[in-house]
Amino acid sequence: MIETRELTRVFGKTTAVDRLSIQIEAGSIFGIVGPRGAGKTTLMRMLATLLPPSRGDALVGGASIRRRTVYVRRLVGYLPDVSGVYPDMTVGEYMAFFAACYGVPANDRTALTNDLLALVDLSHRANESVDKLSRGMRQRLALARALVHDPQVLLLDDAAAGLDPRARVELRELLKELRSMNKTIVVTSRSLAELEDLCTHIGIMESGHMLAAGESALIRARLHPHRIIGVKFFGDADMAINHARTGQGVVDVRLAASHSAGKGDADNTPAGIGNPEDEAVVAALHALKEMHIVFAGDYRDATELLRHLMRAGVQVVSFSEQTDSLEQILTGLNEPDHMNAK
Amino acid sequence: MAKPILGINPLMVKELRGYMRGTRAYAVLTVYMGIISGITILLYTGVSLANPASGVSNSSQVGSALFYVMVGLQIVLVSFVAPAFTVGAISSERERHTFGLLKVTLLSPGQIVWGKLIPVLGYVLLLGLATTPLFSLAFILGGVEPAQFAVALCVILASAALFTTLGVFVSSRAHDTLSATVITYAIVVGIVVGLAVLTVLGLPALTELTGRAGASGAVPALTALFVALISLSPVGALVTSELNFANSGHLLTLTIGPFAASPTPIVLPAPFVILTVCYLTASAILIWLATRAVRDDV
Repeated sequence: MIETRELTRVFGKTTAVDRLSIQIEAGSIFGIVGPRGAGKTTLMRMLATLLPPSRGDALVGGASIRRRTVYVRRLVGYLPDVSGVYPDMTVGEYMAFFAACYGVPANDRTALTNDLLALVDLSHRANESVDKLSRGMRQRLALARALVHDPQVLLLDDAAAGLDPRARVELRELLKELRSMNKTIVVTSRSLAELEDLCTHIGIMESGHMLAAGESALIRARLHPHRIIGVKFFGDADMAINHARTGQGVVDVRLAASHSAGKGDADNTPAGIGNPEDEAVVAALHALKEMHIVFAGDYRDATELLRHLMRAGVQVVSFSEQTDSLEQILTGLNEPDHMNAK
Repeated sequence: MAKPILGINPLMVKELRGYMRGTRAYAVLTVYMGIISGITILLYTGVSLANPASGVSNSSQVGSALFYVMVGLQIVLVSFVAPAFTVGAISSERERHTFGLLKVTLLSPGQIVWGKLIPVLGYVLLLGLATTPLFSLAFILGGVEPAQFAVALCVILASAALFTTLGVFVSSRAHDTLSATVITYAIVVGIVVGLAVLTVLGLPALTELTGRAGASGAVPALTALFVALISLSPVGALVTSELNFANSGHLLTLTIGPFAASPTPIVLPAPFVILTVCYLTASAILIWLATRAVRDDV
């Protein structure tokens, strides 16, 4: 559905996007992850035909973003990182205005607006001023606006930025629903965790380059050849580590640094705590230990490992997969083994 | 297929609704009508009291005075009120983060500029039309010929076109509405006030120069240049055109000379003709430049 060919954008002496060549399949959700300044927004703006490439080209639905701008605009719905509204308009008027700008016939606009507002759960706000909507609601309205001409491709630039957790969950559900309508969705974020479960494909971008791109599972396997499972527990650390090492799929076990340093150290109690209840809480926290298990198994194996630890008498408090920070991922991708992914 | 730029587009409709929905449009209209009506009453009363003998002569004096005051106010209106509606046309879209949203729709850059410009021109026209009953009062009292009205109308409409497009153009280039406002009004003041001051100061000096015996051969060219310069001021063009019409009876041409160095008089287009042609041409260029700015804005 989308193909970029040596796509490049230069601003003065800065190359924001550098000879980028990727393919995005129709019906997929392609997540682009990268730090600030990676070139994500520039790429999205070029695909939305807002920014002409300095070199190279991109095809959207087979049409060049350079030569067939109007055709591409019909295919693409664009949600920028900051989506503005007209404060003097109601929600319904806002939708009807953009429908008109996309050439939707006047007779169809009301029904279309109602359908889209229902999709983003804003029907009850149709007659309210756009100015009165919360940030999450505005983002949903912006998404509805991007869908007003029934585009085949949705470009969502950092769509979840600034949203509260509930609004993020709602947005994710909405995107899944849109995917079920066979839309091709390209979404950017600075957080891999935000996109990992949502996207069918992931691209990691830095300094204008796509360091790695492909199916989410493959990228995940490439980024995390071994999962790191964090286990917090009470009791004997040596015993817990020894039992964990005998679990299926376990490669290595380490005691977390912060806990190993304070292991059994009663003198670490902060001064000034006199309340017995507080002291009990602090003592419990000090008794809590954490180990990191380098794990090569899948999620079923992880379930089995948890059972194994419980059966062995380890008092497990929490058992969760650790997520690498973007910096860790980028450091890993810049190592020689990963450079061929460019 | 390219869409016609000049037709009605959704942005134009939105802007028109926006102007007429809020209180600002009605407030400006009310204040403007109040000022003009107040000045008209004061003027009428003042002239009547100064010339207690009633009659046709007195009536025509009042009518003529009313006409020129109202024309002057209309020029002030189009010069200073019209740009206020357009200086934020594009820059406010950028500030609201809606400019990109507009650009990715099927509206062309030309339609965006036109969609911003026409509603303001329409509103300024509405302000002008609202004062029509007061103009008719001047005609009833007499002292004003249709040709004088035609000259005034050309100057006002051409000024409206230039100053609204100037606002849109500066707005399309400026980073924010505040800087667009400062730049636009600096240019408007330069054109309206600066050239009017030049007219007032330069005309007596030039009259003396042209009348002096043995003046150099450069005088005719200097005079023509001066006429061209004051023709670019709405006030200058209006005053010189009306004076020329009253003195010579020629509406469309202005004859200067003969000079000592050049016995053949020089015939120029009347100042209001120069102004109308120059302003409309400049407006077209500004629209074209604003369209390019919208297209190339990244």
